[in-house]
Amino acid sequence: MGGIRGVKHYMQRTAIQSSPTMIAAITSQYIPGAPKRIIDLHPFRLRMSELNVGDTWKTDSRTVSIEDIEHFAEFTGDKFYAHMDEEAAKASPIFEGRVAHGYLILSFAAGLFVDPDPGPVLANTGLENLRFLTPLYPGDSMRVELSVRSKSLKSEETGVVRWAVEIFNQKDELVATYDLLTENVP
Amino acid sequence: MLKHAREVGGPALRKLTFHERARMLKALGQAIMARKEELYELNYLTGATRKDGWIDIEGGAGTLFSFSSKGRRELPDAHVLMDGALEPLSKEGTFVGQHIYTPLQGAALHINAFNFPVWGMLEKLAPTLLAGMPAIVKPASATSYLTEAAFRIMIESGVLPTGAVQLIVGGVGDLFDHLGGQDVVSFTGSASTALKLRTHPVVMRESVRFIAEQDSLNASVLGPDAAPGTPEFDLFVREVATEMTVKAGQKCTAIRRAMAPADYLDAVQEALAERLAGTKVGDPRADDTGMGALVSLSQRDDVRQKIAELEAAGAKIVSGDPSADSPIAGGAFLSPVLLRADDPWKSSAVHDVEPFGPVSTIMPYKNMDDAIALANRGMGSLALSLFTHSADAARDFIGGAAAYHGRMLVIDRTNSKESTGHGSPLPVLVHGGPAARAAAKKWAASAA
Repeated sequence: MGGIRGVKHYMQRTAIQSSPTMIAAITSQYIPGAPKRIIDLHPFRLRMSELNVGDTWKTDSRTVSIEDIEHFAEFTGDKFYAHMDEEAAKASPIFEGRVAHGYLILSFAAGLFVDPDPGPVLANTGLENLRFLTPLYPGDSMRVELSVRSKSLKSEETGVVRWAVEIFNQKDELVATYDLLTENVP
Repeated sequence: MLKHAREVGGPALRKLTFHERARMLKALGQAIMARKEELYELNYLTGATRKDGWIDIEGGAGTLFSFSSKGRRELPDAHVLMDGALEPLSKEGTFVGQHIYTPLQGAALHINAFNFPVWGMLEKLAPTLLAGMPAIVKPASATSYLTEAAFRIMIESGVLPTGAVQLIVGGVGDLFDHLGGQDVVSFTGSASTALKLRTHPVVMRESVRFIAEQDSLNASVLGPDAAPGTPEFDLFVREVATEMTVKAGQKCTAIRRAMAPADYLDAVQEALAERLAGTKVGDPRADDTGMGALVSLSQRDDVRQKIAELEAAGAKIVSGDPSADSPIAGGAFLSPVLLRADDPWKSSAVHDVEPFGPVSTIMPYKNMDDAIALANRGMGSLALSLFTHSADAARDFIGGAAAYHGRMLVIDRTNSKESTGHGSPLPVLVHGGPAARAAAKKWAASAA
């Protein structure tokens, strides 16, 4: 009882110390920092059972321009000073100038990794553990690595894939990271 | 049997992933549901009504389904469970730490109580099998025929690997002498038996994991705001009466102590007595029966004896007659008995002695601090319910009492319709109370 805690009464908790690669092998699960298995076929074309934990899709990159930022601000109404006011952004303790909206980065990320045609990926059902780590300035570029973090079944007919999403800039610095949840055909 | 579990059942279960074991639980639940009528027939022999049996039989299958679905949603389709996030241990990130869970490689010994022969077995088997451990089930003798029937259904379903589950009806012989550090004992029953098993020399020497769910003098508290006429007052009365009569009060979560503000105690007594008088005690097979029989005549003798102890401690019977004749000659019937303790701090027994039958004691409290102290005087309980519509009262009470109780419900007019009830343990929530009552009692005795 007590859900999964009750299951743990019958298991042993052990601390493992090693490299990310070893820990990924021991747990058969995705570990940040472990080598990724780069795949050639877009993962949105695969059923959940055909995806392996650790499979990673690398996208092309795109540049984010000041016009993109202004277009996004006008379109959504989000005109926060950090995106629209160069002087105020510079004066802040965080930014060196105007930066791209976090939500713009997320939207562009989806534009980079989504494969549009109908297929085994049915819907985007959530996003967790989102962190913005490095500001993205006008003129910077961004690319995405989409890795299968875990798979589970919601029912016999629907699966849930948890993807680790990592967004990098042109210097390979991590701009943002989050878990994406999708509903998939098992 | 231990050897068979450790050498045959365990390795076979550990070959499967969490998801494969979760699917196995679902198949076991389906097998029980498909043959549930066979179990309902035997259920009547335990004195339980069909409604009582529903909790045991379909509630038991429901626990398998719940763990099956949790296993597939929350555990990986793998053999190892990660616990928490990666711990960075080095600057470059080449050396990191990660906690993992793997199944223990021994056997789980399940010692169950008589009151829920099916659910009692399955609520332990579900997490054990999902974890990947084989189990040896030892039901209480009084209702072991019903456990055996459910066990047989599971074996005949063919979904369990050989050695995954075994059954002992009767004594366990010298089994305890052969336990080891990879084994788990999971016990439900009296505090005194729990203490005896927990302190068994082999259990102590080998540090055998010991999980106990033992008797508990659960309380229900009427909030200071819940005057007669409020919805919470009526809900409280209904809940106490229900908990006294479902399963003829033979539930480890049943309300044994019902506390109300001193000014409302007479009204509580009157409303409860009226409600209990409408409960028809009789043949569990009959449709109009509100409450069936106790499990056995010796259990009824035990309950009568405990009622006498409560009376000796100053509690008075205000409704029901423990010595009334059975509606059916020779049956272990007992009418619901309501006692009242006007000075609950003097009547120690009402907090320490559990009549495991349709018996409850009402008592007054003076103020919030007194209510908290009285609730905690039970020295650890499985379940407590508070009936209040006041957010302040709920915050103050829970803050003062949570350390002594495993599961707490705050019921009011907004949630009562959907409430699962005081007495229903849920697979997804804690079922078990803090503090070993046996140890606490020993402490109280030595302090006195």
